[in-house]
Amino acid sequence: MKQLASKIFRYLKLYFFIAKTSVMSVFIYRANSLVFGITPVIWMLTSLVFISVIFGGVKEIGGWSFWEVMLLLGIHELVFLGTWMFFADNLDKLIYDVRTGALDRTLVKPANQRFLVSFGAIDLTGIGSLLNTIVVLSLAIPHVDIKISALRIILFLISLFSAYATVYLLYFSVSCLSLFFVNAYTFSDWLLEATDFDRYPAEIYSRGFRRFLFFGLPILFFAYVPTAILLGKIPNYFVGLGLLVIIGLIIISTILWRKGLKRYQSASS
Amino acid sequence: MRKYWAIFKISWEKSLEYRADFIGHLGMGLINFLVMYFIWSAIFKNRTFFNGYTFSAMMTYVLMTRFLHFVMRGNIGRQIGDEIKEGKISSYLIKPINYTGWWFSTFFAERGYEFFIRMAMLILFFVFFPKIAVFQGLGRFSLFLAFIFISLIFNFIFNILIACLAFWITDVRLIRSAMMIIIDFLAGATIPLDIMPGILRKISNFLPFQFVAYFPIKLYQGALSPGQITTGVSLLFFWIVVLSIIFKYVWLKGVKRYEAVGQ
Repeated sequence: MKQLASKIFRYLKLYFFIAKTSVMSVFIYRANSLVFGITPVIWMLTSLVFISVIFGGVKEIGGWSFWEVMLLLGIHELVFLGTWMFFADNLDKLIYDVRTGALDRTLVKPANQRFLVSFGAIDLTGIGSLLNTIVVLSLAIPHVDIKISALRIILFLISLFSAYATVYLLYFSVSCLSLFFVNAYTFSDWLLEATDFDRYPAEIYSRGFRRFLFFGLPILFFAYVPTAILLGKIPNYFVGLGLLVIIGLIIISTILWRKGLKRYQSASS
Repeated sequence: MRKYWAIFKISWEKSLEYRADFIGHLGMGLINFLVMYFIWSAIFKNRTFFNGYTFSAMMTYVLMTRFLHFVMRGNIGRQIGDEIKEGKISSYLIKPINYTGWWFSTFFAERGYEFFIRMAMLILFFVFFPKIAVFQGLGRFSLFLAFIFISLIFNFIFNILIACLAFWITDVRLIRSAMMIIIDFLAGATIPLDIMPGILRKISNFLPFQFVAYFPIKLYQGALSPGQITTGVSLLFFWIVVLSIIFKYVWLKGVKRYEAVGQ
């Protein structure tokens, strides 16, 4: 127990150091960071106009009102804010490092390799997404009918935690494909583009395709499930299904990482 | 002229080398199309028209925006920006070749290759999914293709102009990606300009970005009058001339400022 506590403390200390250096790098490239902060805001504005135009002609899509779709968009942004900040950039770097052979430098470091490749830096430049999240959620929440109860809040928080875990595990598994294929950027690009499916109510998809998005490529667990749980649009057992999906992804990602490392040839290094 | 043809051929062959990457990109276009298909299917579930569009007309519009997105986009803005940043343009400046001409040949070779692949996909859609990809006849389609060629020239000039910012700022990539989102939107690639909110529609009408998506698609769909076509084509040529002049000025100023950092 004492050993575990000391291990956790060691990694917390390491992560604090990572956070400190990440903040410093933002201040070195202030102009770039500012532009990067504006990009998600622009992207969100275009999405809002798109949704507004659609709802200018219809009252609901798939049984979801304008403000409910806005809430979904806000939660999607909240999930991806964490994704960009904590691991997306690191996992993109994993693909690049495998391709160039630079992964060696990480593999010889005296810390857990999976931790280093996943959480080796914090990307603070996506701060614009934080603004998006605050604005969209504060606009949407007063307009939607949420029946607040302790159980609902707990289920929502669990599903939100599941969302982060699912995004990470899925993204990590896809990045691990770089250990098997020369260029895994295509796979991560596909995954990124496929997250668009989660920005709209799942009810608009056909039944078979929806099932695929729940259990084949579990993208609907990112923002759709937490939002639908909060709004009471889906049964509570979906939270449990989310946890099962996480267990499945843990197994798959661990196999891919271990088998992949054995195949890693340190090409070009 | 022969040396630029040689550059064109080399770039074309280079595009052929990365076939596996290209197959991956094909999938990407389809994902976005599928998302839009489901959204518009839900909207048209209980109605025949949405702001004057039928489901077939809207899906054809969406499909064409995807086609144009991949044919028009190009990486030269980023590549040129990187070359300026890393001081690599020095090697071009001492060669008996025009730097803009070099990239013009490269751009058209890359776009040409993508054009043929995307065209094959488009034809498959026309044949197998006629309800969501309405073929409007050879005449309109030829007009559409001819217009794409002129739009590509505009797109090339606009891209190198953005790249020239690298003479003054460290990295153009972030500015470029922010601009691409705005341009995509003002081009009508997300939603047709004629159903956009009034003020945005008015702004877009004066800007050249509509010629990258909205205008050629409406031309193909037969929704423009001869007067609108004449005005549009004149406006596009006007922008090509204006941007060329601005580019020439910015390029000369930039090269004077250029310090060949890292070389």
